[in-house]
Amino acid sequence: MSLTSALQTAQNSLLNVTRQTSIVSRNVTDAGTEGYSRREGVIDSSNLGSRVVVVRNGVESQLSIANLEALSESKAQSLISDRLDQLSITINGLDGSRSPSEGLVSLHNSMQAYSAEPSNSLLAEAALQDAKDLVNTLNNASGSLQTFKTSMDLELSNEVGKLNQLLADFYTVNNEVTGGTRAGRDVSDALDQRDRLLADINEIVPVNVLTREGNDVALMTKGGATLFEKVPRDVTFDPINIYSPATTGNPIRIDGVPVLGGTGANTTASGSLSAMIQLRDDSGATIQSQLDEVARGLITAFAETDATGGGAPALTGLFTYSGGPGIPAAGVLQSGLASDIAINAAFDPAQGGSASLMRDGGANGAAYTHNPAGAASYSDHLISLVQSLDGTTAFDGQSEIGGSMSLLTYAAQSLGWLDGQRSEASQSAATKEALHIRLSEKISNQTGVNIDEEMALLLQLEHSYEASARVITAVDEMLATLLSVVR
Amino acid sequence: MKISQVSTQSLFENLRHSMSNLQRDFADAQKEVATGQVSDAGLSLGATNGRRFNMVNDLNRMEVITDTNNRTQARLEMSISATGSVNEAAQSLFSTLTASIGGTGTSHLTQAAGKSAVTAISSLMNTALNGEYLFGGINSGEAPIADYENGGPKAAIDAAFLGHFGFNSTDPGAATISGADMTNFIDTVLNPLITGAGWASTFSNATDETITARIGLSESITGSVSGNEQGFQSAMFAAVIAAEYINDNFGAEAQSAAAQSALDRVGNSTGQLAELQGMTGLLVNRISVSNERIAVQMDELTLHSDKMVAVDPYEAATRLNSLITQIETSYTLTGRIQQLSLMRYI
Repeated sequence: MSLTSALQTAQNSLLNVTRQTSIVSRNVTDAGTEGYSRREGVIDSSNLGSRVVVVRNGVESQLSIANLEALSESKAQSLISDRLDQLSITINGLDGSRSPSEGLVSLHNSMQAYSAEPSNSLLAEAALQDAKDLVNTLNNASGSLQTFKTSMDLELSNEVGKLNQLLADFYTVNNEVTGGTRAGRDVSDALDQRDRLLADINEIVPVNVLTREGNDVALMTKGGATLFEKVPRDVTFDPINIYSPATTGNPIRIDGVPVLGGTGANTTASGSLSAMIQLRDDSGATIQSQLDEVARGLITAFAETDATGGGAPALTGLFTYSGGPGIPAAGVLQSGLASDIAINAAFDPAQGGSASLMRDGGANGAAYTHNPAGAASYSDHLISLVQSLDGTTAFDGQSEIGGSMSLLTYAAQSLGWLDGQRSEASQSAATKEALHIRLSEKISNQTGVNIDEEMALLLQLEHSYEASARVITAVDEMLATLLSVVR
Repeated sequence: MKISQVSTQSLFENLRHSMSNLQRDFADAQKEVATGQVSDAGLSLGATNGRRFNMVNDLNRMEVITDTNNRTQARLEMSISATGSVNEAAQSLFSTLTASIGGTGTSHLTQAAGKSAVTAISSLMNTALNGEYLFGGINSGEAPIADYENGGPKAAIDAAFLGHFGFNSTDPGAATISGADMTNFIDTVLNPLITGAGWASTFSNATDETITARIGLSESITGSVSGNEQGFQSAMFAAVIAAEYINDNFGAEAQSAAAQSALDRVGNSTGQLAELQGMTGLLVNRISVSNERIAVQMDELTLHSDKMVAVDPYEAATRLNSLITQIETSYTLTGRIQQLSLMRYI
């Protein structure tokens, strides 16, 4: 050991300390950055002397997988809860205030008032107005559902675009990671970035990460499609601009494999794509079919029967549709009826009809007239119409509320169904979000930066720097002493 | 060392999450305290909310039925009082007729009483409420009883007289009609003209069919009285006999026979009208019973549907208070944690 070598070691130590300080400074800078993994400058001794090696804080892979899963599920669930709330407000109004159920009650009430005073044409007009309002409610609700599906398609298309962009970025970053690893560079930043991209991708579609040699990864969707292997795969989707109740939305294909929608209010969906597909194809369709069943129930309840006893078939009365005057088949869902239902022109004074047909019947000819003499106070037909709202009919189980019940009960049950879905979705969203927050907190604790720790480390580095500097001074003095002796 | 580590970021994130949760709960609790109801019935009740909607629907519907019941009740009560008045008119005719059977020289009084009874009965039976003729049956748009003098009934009755006897009732020949002839004419010619099917063609525009009234969610009753009831026919019959055939054109025997026939009919009508009043009274009673039942049901339904969404005000207030405390603590904590940095000490 010579003084020169002592000087060299001290110099090396100064170099290491500055590098470590720079790492600490980087850590402090990124303390608030989400997804930043703390770096640690570790001293590695070799025969060339010690040098600083950057080590990136890692996470147990099990925790990381669980966190990504929780992220996908929480994203899907909160999307479903959010959109169901939105749907419920658009279709039923606040606390059911604009729902078909409410419209039915109004119609019942005005028809009841009319039946108590059938000679009063103002009451007839009022009842007709309520019938029109109900038709509008159904038409609008069905229309809103179509708009909802269109906007879902638009959002899906945006998400697909975003996913493709993320995959393209992922490709670049992954190349940097693999290239850097091969060249022995510090790839911490690229790894951070790749992790962040991975999280973003998981919000859209849940993926399994397969780690390969040389820090390379491949991404597979949970559905088994390959999303990324060396190069990103194609994600394709054709949005539909105008929906009708009969339109079926197009699937999203990842590498040719369609993405499946989730099921249930506590959804099996994971990632925004499958949640939106569920909302579009499942929830949307169920609400549509319930509206259709209400429309069918209305047309049937208000159908006109043969008054002569001649056995002629029942034909549409106050409410009709494009398939009229025959009434829709009993107990079978007829798709799109809620958009199609209309007031029969024969009842509407604005279209040359007469509201008093509600009292007399006869929109389908003389055989269907219950009050042939046109007696002013004939109320039996009105009462039978009002009562028919309470009469039991069979509803199609395809609308998720099957069985025999009255139209009014069905409409109320339909409100209850949506509330049930909302309630379940909102509870599940809270649970899934809590899990995700807990896990990401845990990961952040494992990988993130604690500023206090960095400060403590900085103190340590300062001391180390001082010590090395002191060594240099000491050696300098010793050398000076030596030289003065020589002189 | 790793296990105990807490990253600075999660420290602050945690605060942020708990703060936003607290604030959301706070908004809900505030609403609950203010309204006494859960903030979102759909979310808290879930599918059970369908049952609540059903109850609220029934409540709204029953309320309207109570309204319409009041209207039907008014119609029936007015019918009862009009029927009573018809009965009174018949009763006053009865006393005049009794006098004319025994005595002589009072026939002009009886005739006048008969004519006024015809008018009184007609106008009572043409009582209208809100433009609806009470006794019109379902044909409430037309006056049920035709005007006696000019509307056809008198002409039909005079024609029948002429057809039977060959001369008019004002003809001097009328004095020759015997008591038996008179009774025969009234029973065989006039009777089918004024009662039964003849009533509708001679006098009445009313229908036998009455207005049906729905007085409960699944209960309907007869909601009006038809002017075709037998009691009205008998009363009118008696009044017509008194107005037409008890006068000095006829012999005493025929007058007496006519008076006897009229008396029989008044007697019948009194009983029939009283019965009709009673029956109508029963209908009014059914409406009252139905109203009471609806009121009880509405109370129950209100109670149940309110209970489903009600929150205990004390619980809600306590919760609100504890939330306020929590939020305040959280604020303080945030401030303290912000200061908790090694930077301040080195």
